[in-house]
Amino acid sequence: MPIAVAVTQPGYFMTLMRQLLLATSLALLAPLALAQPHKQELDQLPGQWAAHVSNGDFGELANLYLSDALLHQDFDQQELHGSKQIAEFYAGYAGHLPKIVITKINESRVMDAVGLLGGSFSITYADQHVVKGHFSLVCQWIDGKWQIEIQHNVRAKPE
Amino acid sequence: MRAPAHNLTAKAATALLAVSLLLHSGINAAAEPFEFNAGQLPEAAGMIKAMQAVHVTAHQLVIESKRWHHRVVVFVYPSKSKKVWVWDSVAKSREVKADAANPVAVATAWLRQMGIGDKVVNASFDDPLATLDHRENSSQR
Repeated sequence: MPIAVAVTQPGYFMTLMRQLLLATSLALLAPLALAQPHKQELDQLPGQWAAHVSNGDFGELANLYLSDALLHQDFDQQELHGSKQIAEFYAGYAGHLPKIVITKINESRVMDAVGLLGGSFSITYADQHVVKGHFSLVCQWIDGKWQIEIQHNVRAKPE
Repeated sequence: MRAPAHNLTAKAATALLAVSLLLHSGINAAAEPFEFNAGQLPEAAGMIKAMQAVHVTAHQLVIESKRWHHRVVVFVYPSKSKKVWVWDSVAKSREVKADAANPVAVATAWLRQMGIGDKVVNASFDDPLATLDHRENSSQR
């Protein structure tokens, strides 16, 4: 169909535009999906961390971390080394577990076998005081799963 | 009369475009309030080591103004590209337009991107891996 005719027929023109839009969208999304393998699993990690702490699943929690992982938490001056020590720290809350909710993920990047994650959380302690903060996770893809190598939690600036 | 498949295609295209635009614009969006955390960046050494293991060039950058000093991680990704990213504990990674080998240029571009008006007095690449190696050696003893 000649272009002059095509543009004078709104139905054909709109269909063409829609197909162009779809092709553009797919072209934009495809490289992102291909370049970031296992991104979906990476994105699930903060939620798993929050759930395991909140539910007291300390064995599962320890499995999220590498054996030589580092957890640095600015707001209570905690620097914990290794999955065992990290799990034991949270196990210390047994009976009055904090409830952790991931409120936002604003960074999720896979670089080969390294994953970077960042976002925000809200911790409600048993005495009902709430700490809102930001987390950073450096993760490694090992044996078919992401594991946390470094976690850095900082308190959010008061609103 | 338009076929139902056309409506579906249009909705899918619009949704995909919106998602893809969000993914791209989110990188530069100033979403978080900024707060300096006393110049600490405990994830720096491990992050740089992990990145270097997958051939991503990364350095710790120490930025100083008249009022404060701050640490971030600078990395080039994808490797061999000219895309320079700056990682901060709160702001996470932001792409900056600067020469990756020029610490003052990277610091200046990042502060501008963060909307911070302070002038960079000094900026230099620091190597936190020396500290990490020291820790690893100590723990092995």
